[in-house]
Amino acid sequence: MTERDRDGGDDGDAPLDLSAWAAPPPPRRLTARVMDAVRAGGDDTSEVTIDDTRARRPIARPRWPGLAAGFAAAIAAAALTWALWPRSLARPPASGHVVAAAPSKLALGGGTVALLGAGAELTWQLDDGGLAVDQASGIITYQHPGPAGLVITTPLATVHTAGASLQVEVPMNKQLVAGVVGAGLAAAIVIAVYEGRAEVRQPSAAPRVVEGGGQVAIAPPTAPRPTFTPVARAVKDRAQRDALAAAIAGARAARTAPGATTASAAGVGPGGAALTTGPGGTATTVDLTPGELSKDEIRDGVREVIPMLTDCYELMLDKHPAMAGQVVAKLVLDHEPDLGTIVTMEDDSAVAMTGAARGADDHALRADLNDFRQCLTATLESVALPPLGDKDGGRIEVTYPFVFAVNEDDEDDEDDEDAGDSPPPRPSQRQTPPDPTAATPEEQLTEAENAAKSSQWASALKRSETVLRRSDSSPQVASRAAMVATLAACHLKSRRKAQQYYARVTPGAKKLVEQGCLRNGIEVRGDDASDDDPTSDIMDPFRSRTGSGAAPTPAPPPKRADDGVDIKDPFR
Amino acid sequence: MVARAPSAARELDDLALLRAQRGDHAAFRQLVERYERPVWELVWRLVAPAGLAARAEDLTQEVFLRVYRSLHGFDPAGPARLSTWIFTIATRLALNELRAGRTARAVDLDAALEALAAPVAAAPGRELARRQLGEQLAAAVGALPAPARAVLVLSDVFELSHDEIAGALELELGTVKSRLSRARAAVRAQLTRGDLS
Repeated sequence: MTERDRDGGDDGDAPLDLSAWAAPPPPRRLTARVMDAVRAGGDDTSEVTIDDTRARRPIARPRWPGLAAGFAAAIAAAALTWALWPRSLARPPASGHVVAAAPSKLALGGGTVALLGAGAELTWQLDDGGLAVDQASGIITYQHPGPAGLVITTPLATVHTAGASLQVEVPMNKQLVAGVVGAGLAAAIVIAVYEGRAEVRQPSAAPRVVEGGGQVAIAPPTAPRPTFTPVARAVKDRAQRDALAAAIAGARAARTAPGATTASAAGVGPGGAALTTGPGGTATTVDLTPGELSKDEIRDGVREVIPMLTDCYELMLDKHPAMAGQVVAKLVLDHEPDLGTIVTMEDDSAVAMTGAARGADDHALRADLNDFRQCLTATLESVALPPLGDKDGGRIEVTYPFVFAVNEDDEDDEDDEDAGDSPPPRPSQRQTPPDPTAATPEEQLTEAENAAKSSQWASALKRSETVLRRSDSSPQVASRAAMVATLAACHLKSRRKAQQYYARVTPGAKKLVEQGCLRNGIEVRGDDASDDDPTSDIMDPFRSRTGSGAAPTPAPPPKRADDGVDIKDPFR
Repeated sequence: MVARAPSAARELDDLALLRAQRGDHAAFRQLVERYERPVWELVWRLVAPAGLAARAEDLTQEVFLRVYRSLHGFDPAGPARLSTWIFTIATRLALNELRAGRTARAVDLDAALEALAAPVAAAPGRELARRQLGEQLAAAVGALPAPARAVLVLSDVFELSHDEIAGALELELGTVKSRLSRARAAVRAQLTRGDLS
C-alpha cells in the first residue's frame, strides 16, 4: 500500500484532519472490568460471529499452566527469541540491577540476552565463573549461548544451565515463603526450557534436569514461617500509625516467642479484642486461645488499621488529588498453630480508582496504583486477629470492601452558606497553588464535558468542581462548569451538590438544567437540601452512616446479606 | 496533507501475543491495555454521534471478550495486523449496535451543553476555537450514515488502508473508495457552510 493509495488519489480527496474531534479518555476501570468479564465468562465457548477468516492456521490453545502441554508454543517462542537475538550489541555492563517498567530486552554480558516482562526484577553479575542472575520476580526469557555457565537464583530454587534458551516465571506479589496453606501452584515458580537443558536445584530436594521442551513448577514449602514486615514501611509517619505498627509487631513477636502461645494478658475479656494499644504504642495484649472467629472480631481488627489505610489513600492523594474509588479486598485468614491467624490479601483483590491527575502518564499512574495496592496489602496483612482455631476449618475467606473518597464535609458546609451569593468556591483543603504550567480552565472544562458526554458522571463532577475552584476561570467558563457540575450531581443523585452548583448556572441555562435534573428526580430549585451524599476518608461497611469525624463508630450488628462482608465458611 | 490524529496502535509484541493465545490472562491484560484506548476511541466515534455514547464502554468490553474468545484463531503470520483484526471486530459490533436502532437515554447532556455554546464562542482562546472546530466536526461526521462514518473513521483517524477497510467491512475496494470520497466531501461541505473550513 502506498501513502497515496491510503490517502486518496488527488488533493481533492485528501484525508481529513479529524484530530480536533477528540474522543474522551476511556473509563479508568475499563481494563479491570474487561478482565473481570474475561475471568467470569471469557472462556465461554459460544459461537463467535466475527472471526479472522483470513487466518490460515489456527493455533490450539492449551490451558496454562498445563505442565504437559504447550511445547509447540514454547518452541515457537524459542524461535522467536532467537529471531529477536541482537546481532551486534554494545558491550553490556558486567553487573547491574533492573526492574522492567515495560517489556524490554537486556544484554547481560557474555552474549546472554534477557527478555523481561513488565515488572520483572533481576540483578546480575558476570565474572570469569560465568553469569549469575538473581531473579526476584516477573517473567524473564533467557538466551544463553554458553559455554560459560549461567546460574539463575529464584526465591525457591536455582537454575544451572549453559547454552540454553529458557523462561523463568516468578510470580509477582505472591508470598512465596509466607506459608499460606493452599497457596500451591498459584504461587509456583515455573521454569520452561525451550532449547538445551537446565538443572533445577532446591535446598531440600534432589536436583532435577529439564530438557528442551519441558518445564517444571516449584511450589513453596508447605510449612514455612512468615516474615513480618513492619507496616510502617509504606505509609506516612504518624504517631498513631507508629503506635499501631509497634503494637502489631509486638503481638507478632509475642506469638513467635517460645511459650507464648497461651499467653493471655490482663484486660482482655473472653472473646474480646486481641490487640489493644496504649500511649506510645507500648501496651500490647494478646489472647491466643483458639476459638471461633466472629465477624465482629474481624471488623475490629480491620478498624484498628483504618488510620493506616487512610495514610495509604492520602499518599495517593498527594499525587492524584481527585483520586477516588473502591477497593474490594479479598482476605484469606489461615490458622497457624504457633502464630495465630495469618491474613493474606489476595492478588485478585479489586482496586478500582478513578480521577488520576492530569498529565500523569500510564506508567506513572500504574506505579502509583501499585504503590497504593502494596500499601493496602501491607496494612491489611498486618491486622492482628484472634487465633482462628480449628472450629472454622482453619481457613476462612473474607471479602471486605472499602470506599475511598475525599472528605468534603467542611468545604461543602462553607459552600452551602454562600451558595446563594454565588461566590468563588473556597479552596479545598488539598488544593495546591496555581501552577502556570498546568492545564488551563478551558482545558479542564473540556475534560469535564467529555467525561459527562460519555456518562462518566463522577469524573465530570470532580473535573468541573476543579474548574469552579480555580480563581482564574472566566465567568463564561465557570458558568459552563457549573452547568456540567449540576447535571453530573443530578445523575449521581446528590441533591445538595446539585443545588449548590445550580446557583451558579446562568439564568438563561437554568431551565435546561432544571429539566435535566428533574428527569433524574432531583428538584434543584427547592430549598430542602438534604445531606444525601455522605463522604468520608474511608467508608467502613460496618461504620454507622450517621457518624462523623475520624473515629469510626460501631454500627449495629450487621446482617449477613448486606453488611458488605461475605464470610465463606463451609463448616457453618 | 494534513496532520493525522495519533490514534493508530502500536502492535503487541509477539511473545505477549503468543502467551495470550495460550490463554494467559496476564498477557491478555497486556493486550487490553495496549489496544484499550484506540478501540474505545473507535467505538465512541462510531456510536456517540447517534446518541449512544453511554454504550461505548459496554461495547468496548464486548469487543475484548470476543477478541479473547477467538484470539487462538488469529494468525500472526497472516495478512492482517492484530490491530486491524481487533478494529474489524470493534467496527462490526458498533455497526450492529447502530443497526439495532437503539435510542439514546432520555437525558441527553449534549443537548444541554450545546445550549451554552454561545458563551463559549464568545470566549477567546485557541483551545476554545479548537473545541468549536471539534464540535463542528462531530456534527458533520455524525450526520453521515453509519457505514460511511465507519469508513471515514477507519481511514482518516485509524489510518487503515483501503484494502484493510474493505476486508474489515466486507466491501468491494471500489465501494470503499467511493464511500470514503463521498464522506469526505460531505464533511468538507458542511464545514464550509459553517465557515470553518
